[in-house]
Amino acid sequence: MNKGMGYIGRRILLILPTVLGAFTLVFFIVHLAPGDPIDVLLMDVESGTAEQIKQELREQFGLDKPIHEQYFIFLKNTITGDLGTSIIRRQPVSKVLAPTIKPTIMLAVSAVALSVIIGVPAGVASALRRNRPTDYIIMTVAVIWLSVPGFWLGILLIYYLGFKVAIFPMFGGGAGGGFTSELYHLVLPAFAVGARSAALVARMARSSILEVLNQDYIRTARSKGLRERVVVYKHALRNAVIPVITVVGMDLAYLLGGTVIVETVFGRVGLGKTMIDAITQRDYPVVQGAILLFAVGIVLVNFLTDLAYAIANPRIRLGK
Amino acid sequence: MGWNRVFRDLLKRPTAVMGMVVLVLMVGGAVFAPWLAPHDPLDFQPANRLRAPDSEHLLGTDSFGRDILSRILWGGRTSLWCAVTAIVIGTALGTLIGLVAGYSGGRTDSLIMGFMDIMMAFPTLLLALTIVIVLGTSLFNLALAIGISNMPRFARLVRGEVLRVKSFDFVDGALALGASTPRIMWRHILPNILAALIVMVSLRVSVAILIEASLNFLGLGVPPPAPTWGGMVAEGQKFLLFAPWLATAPGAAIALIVLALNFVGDGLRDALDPRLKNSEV
Repeated sequence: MNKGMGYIGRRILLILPTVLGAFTLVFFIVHLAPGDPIDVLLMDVESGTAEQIKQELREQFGLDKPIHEQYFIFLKNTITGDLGTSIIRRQPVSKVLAPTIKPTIMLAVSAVALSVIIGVPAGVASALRRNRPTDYIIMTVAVIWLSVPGFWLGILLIYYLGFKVAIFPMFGGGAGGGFTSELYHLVLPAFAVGARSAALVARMARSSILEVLNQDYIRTARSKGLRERVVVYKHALRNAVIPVITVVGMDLAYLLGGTVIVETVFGRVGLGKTMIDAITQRDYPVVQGAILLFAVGIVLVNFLTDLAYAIANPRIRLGK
Repeated sequence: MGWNRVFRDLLKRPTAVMGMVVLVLMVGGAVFAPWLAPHDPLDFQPANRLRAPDSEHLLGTDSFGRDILSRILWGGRTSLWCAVTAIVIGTALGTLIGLVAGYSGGRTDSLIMGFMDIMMAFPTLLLALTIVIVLGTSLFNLALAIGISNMPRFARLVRGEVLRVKSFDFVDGALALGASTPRIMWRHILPNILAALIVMVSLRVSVAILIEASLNFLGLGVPPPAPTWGGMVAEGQKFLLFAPWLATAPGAAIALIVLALNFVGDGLRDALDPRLKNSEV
C-alpha cells in the first residue's frame, strides 16, 4: 500500500473496511436469518392475526422497503448512533445495550490482567529451567488449561469455590453492592475466561525468552560478567516482551468471544449474555447491535495492539 | 518426508503417545456407540431421573432418566463428525484460497488476504456464532459455520508456504517444461506444504471441538433431544448443586479429547516440522 504513510497510518486505514465488513455481515443476519421477526413479535397474540396488522408493523420497522434501501437506511442510522428498536423490549437498542458494556469490559480486562499475572512469570520460570521438572509441570498445566472449555471450567469453579467451599459468589455481577462487590463477583468468571490465555501467554513467553537467550547480545552481556539476574531481567525480558504483547492483544480480542460464554454461565448481564438472550428471543435489532459493538471493540483492540507492538519495536515503528 | 520416521518420532514422546491412546479410545467409543452404549441415549425413564452413578448407570442419569454414559458416547459421534467435517471444509476452502492468492500474487493476493485478515480479526467463536445465526441451527450448518470461520487461518498458512515454495528452482523448472498452473500447484506446491498443513489440521480440530461444544452449550448448535457434549453440560448446570455429575462428565469428555488432540498436535508439529516449533499455529 502507501509507503509514505508508515505502519500506523496503514493500520488506521484498515479500521474502516473491517467495521464496514462487520456491519454488512450484521445487516444480512437480520435479513437472511430464518424466522420473520414480525411473526415472533405476534407470537403471544392470538393466531391468525390479520395480514394487515403484520403489514403495518413491517412498515413501522421499515421491513417493507427494498433490501438495498434498508441497507443504506441502516447504515445512516448506525452512523448517527441509532441502532433501532428492540422488538421484544420495545426500547431503543442503544438503551438496552449501553449498561451491558461496562461489565463485559471489566470481565475482559480482568481476564487479561490475570492471564499476564499468571502467564508471564510461569513462562519465564519455565524458560529458565528448561527441560527440568518445573518446565515440564508448567507446560503440562498450560496444555491442560488450553484444553478445558471455558464454560466447563466456569461450572467447576461455581461448584467447588462457590458451593462446596463457598468463598466466592456463584452467580451474577454483584451490581448494586458497590465496586468491591463487583470485583468480588469478577474473580471466578475472570479466571474461567482467562485460564486459556494465561496458558497461551506462558507458552509464548517461554519460547520467546528461549529465543532471545540464544542471541549474541545476551552472550555479550554474560561475557561482560553481568549477573545472571541482570541479564535475564534487563536484557532478555525486555526483548522477549514484544511477541508476548501480540499474544495478549490478539487474545484480548479472542477473550471477548470467551466472555459471551462465561457471562451466560455466571448469569452476568453483559454484552455477551444480552446478545445470546436476544438470539433465543429472535430480537434481531438487539443481536445486530451487540455484534456491531463486539466488532468495533475487536477492531479497536486490534488497533491498540498494533500500536503497542509498534511502540515496543522500533523496527516496525520506523517503517520496514 | 518419511512417514515412518515421523511416527517413530511421535512414539518417543510420552505425551503424544498418551494423546494417541486417549484419542483412539474416544474415537472408538464414538464410532461404535450403537454397540457400546449400555442404554438408549434418548430413552426417557422418569422414575430413574437424576440417579447418582452406580453399577447400572456408570455415570448416572440426567433429569429425564437418560443414561449419561450412553449420551456421552453418542454425543461423541456428533462432536467428532462436526469437528472433522468443519476442518475438512475449512482446510479445503482455505487451501484453495491460499493457493490462488499466493500463486497469483499482486492485486488479487492483496484483495483476498485483506478479506481473510478482516475475518481473522474476529474471534473464531463469534464468527461461527454469527454464521450460525444466518444459516439456522442444524448439525451441518454448525459444521459449515465452524469450517468457514477456520478458513482464513488455513488460507494464510497455505499462502505463506506457497510464497516460500514458489521461489524454489524446481517450480521454475516445471514452468519451463510447460506445466500448467493447476498442475504446478497440485504436483509441486501442495506436497511441499503438506507438513505445515497437517500440523495445522491436528491443532485446529481441537479448536473446532471447543467451538462446537461452546455453541451447543449456548443452545445454538444441534437441536435437542440429540445428545451433544456442550448441550449436556448446559442441561447439567441446571442441576449442578444436586447432581454435579450431569455437568462434570460430558465436560470432562470435551476436555479430555481436546487435551489428547493438543498433545498429538504438539508432538506432530515437533516431529514433522521443527521450523514450526515456536510458532503460534
